[in-house]
Order: sequence, then C-alpha cells, then structure tokens
Amino acid sequence: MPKEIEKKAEEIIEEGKEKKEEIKEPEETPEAKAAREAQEKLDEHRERSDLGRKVKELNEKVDSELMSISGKIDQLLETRKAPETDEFEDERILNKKELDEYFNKKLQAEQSARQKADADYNTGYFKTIGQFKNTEEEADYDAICKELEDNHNIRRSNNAQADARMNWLEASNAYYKKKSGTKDNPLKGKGNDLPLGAGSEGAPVIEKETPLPKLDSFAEEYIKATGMSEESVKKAMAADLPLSLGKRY
Amino acid sequence: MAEINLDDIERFSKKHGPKKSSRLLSALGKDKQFINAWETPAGKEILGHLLLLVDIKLDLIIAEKADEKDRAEYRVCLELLRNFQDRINSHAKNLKTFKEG
Repeated sequence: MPKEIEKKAEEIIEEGKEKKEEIKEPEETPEAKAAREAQEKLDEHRERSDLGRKVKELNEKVDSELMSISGKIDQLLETRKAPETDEFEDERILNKKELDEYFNKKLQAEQSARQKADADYNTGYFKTIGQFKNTEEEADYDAICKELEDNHNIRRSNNAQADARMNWLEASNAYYKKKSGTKDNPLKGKGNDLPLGAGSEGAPVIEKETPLPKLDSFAEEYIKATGMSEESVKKAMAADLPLSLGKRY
Repeated sequence: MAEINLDDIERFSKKHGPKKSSRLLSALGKDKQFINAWETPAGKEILGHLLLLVDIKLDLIIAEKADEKDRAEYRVCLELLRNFQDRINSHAKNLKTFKEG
C-alpha cells in the first residue's frame, strides 16, 4: 500500500476519533472551567485544613499522654528503691579458697555497713540530745544527761531522733520527779516515833464506853412475847465482844 | 422452830455485836404477830379455807372445766399463800440465824 493512502487513512481515523470525543464530551467554556477549578481548589483546601486540624489534635493528645506517662514513670522511679544488688553475685566461685574469700568479703562489707549505720545513729542521737540544751538550764541539763546515761540510754529502734526524744523525756521526767519528790507523805504516821511495845510512855488508850443500841417497839414486843425481860436481854447483848468487833459501835 | 432464849441472844451478840442482835430482834418482833395469827383458831380456819379453795380450783383447771373466774380465783389464792409462805419462811430463817449464829 502506498504511503499516501496510509496517511489519509490515519487522518480519517483520527478525525473520526476526534468527532467521537466531541460528541461524548461537550466543550467546556473557559468560565465554567475556571469556576470548576476554583471550586476544586476550595475543596482541596478545606480537606487539607481539616486534615491539618485532625493531625494537630492527635499530636496534642499524644503529647499529653506522653507527658502523663513520663510523669508516672518519674514518680515510680522516685518511690521505688533501687534493688539491693549483691556486688559479689557475679563472681564465680571455683574452689574453697575463693569461697572463703567470698564469705570474708561479704562479712566485712556487712560489718562496715553496720558500723556506718551505728555511727550515723550515734551522731543523730547525740545531735538530738544536744538540741535540748537550749530548753533546759545548764545544771538541769547536766543532771538529766547523767540520769539519761545511768538509766535511760536505750536503743529502741533505728530512728535515732525518736529514740533520743523518748529517752530524754523519760530521763527528764525521772529527774524532775526526784527533784520535787521530797514532800512528806501526809498519810504516813509521823507523831509517835517510839518503838512498838513502849506502851507506858505512849499516849494512853482511852476506852470509849459505847451505849447499847436501843430496842425498838417490835423487838420489845417480841421480848415480852417470849417471856424475857428487857434488862436481861440488854445484859445478854452487852456481853464481852471479840477484839475485832470491840470498836465497831 | 422454838423461840429464842437469853443464851441465844448472848451467844449471837458475842459473835456479831449488839447492833445486829437488836436488828434481828426487831425483825422477829415484826413477823411474830403475823405468825401468831395463824396459830389462832380463826387463822387456822382462814388458812384451811384458802387451801381448800386452791384445791378445788386446781381440780377444775386440771379437768379443763374451769372458766375465767375459776382461774382468776386460783391465781389470787395462790398469790396470797405464796406471800404468807414467804413471811413464815423469813421468820424461820431469822430464828435459825439467831440460834446458829
């Protein structure tokens, strides 16, 4: 086939295609196109701004969550004590000598820790005791310190301040009690210093004669009814009493 | 129980003192007239009537023939007898106390 014919055929085909397209889509006016494009831009902008707002909200939410979580972690770290690690834990013991060394080391470490704790306790204790110097007179303070050393120096707990306060209170109480405890007991018999049995020199015992209780009318009637006389009954009632009852009436 | 005599009074007074003897004599005197009343013929008759009444009413109650009035009479008679019994018992107890110390 000659080339010209082919070209013509192609042109015809292309024209046909264009015509078909022209039929399918009516031609858009430039104004409508501009309006459509402007509308599309507006929609796109709205979508973008919506998305931007959503992303911002999410970011803020995540940030606040992270902040709260990190705060909680900090709190946990503060409250939770560091686990006691055994510094000898990782050492591998292979023979008896190493085992002995291991125990010696451990023992020494424990002893030194205990000594340190004791030293800290003593420091705190004496510091707290020293603070009471401001509240007491010097003589009283010295006397209370002596009382404390003699009788009340007790370790009650590992809290040096609390122990010191408690011991000081006890010692000061005891000291002031002793100081003010020279009063005479009014209930103690004081007048007669004579030994027991020195009856002739003591105060004479005065024997009180107590009258017999009066008999009421019912008792008198009963006495008469049983044929006894009032005098004889009184005489019988006035008989010697045992010592324990001698002073009761 | 026989009444007390001077020996009883003396023994009791030695042990407990005249004040308690006097109180006990007074209590015996208060109950004495009441006890004496039951020993008179009239007292015995009243007590007999009372006991008989209680007996009759109790029979009626057991036989389920007693009405409200019968039951009320029975309760009153029984209450009176209990009161008399209490006072007689009290007198006997006081006498025993005096005699035995």
